[in-house]
Amino acid sequence: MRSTHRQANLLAQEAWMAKEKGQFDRSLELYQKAYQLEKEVAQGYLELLDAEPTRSIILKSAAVLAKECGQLREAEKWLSHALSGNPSEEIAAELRALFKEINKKHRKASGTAKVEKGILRVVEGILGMVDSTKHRIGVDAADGRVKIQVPQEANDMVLKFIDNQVKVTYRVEGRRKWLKQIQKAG
Amino acid sequence: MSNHPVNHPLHLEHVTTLNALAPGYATAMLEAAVVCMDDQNHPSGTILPITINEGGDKNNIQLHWTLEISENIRKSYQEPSRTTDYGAMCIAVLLSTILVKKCSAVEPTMGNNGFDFYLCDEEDEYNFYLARLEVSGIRKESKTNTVEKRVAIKKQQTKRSDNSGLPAYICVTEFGTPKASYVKK
Repeated sequence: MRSTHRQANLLAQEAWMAKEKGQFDRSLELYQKAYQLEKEVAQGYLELLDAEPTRSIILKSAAVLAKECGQLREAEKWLSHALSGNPSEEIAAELRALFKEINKKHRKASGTAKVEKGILRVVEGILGMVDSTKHRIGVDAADGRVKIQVPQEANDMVLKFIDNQVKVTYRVEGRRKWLKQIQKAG
Repeated sequence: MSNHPVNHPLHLEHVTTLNALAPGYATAMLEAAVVCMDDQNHPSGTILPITINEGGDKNNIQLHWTLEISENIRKSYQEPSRTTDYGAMCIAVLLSTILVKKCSAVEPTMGNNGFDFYLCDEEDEYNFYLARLEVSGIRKESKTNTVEKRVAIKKQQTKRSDNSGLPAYICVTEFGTPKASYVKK
């Protein structure tokens, strides 16, 4: 099972690289191949309840690959299997976050997404502060620092932009600003 | 962590031979690492001092590479942040294989931004994940952007793993000096 998982992971890395290069068709093709292999491995781990944390990580990886292939229902099933075992608290939190993300995609795909209220605004500046505890970032723009709330699941992602010039789209809801998108500027 | 000799030589090209890394991914890490070193005027043979666990051991690793930076490679790695991240991944992955006991493979995580890894024990067929590795890179330290601060940020980030049963390591590499910190959470 380990070697099949390894092959799946290698294909997934290639798929990720292809996506980075903008080769989306090639990326999807590779993700599909990776998922077919990882699915076999995940099936094998279903009954291996004592093989933690590997069981949860493998099932999560099957879910991620299913998601990349657009098979959202299958992704949800793998996550449910993982959560029904004995994942550590940390991995359980990751599984729930992924479940939420997939669920949101699913709703969007079926046209039942909730319409978010609030005004969208854009700010450009240096990402000078990332507060992982308060889930907040600070963008140092020409007019001063703009503090923006970050969804918990995006905490890790924003860290890679620290000290970089960024363009941030955020939604204003009352006195709070919520991150919608962050990308490198310039 | 395992015992590690002072001035242990580390060949950056070795990253392309690790069996858990896809060739394209590993090559990108290698090229980025060499671009970062070259950009900071460090030749092959440069000593990389490593702090292992805060306030703990200090060690020196001698970095070697044979890759020549062509104009094409240089052009491909013009984006400094991404290049530094990839370069730091190269160093972190290689250090993991010599610093962490039983770590025989380093596997990129799926579904993330690609900058984090799992350390694996290839001897174990079923339960092969040993630890998590969080990687970060700094091209050149500034007053506000230091290895110590970055380690602190990463520690916050991995705080949730305290009760996970899966240990977390943090590796931050700075290419200006150069130096690195490899810390067990």
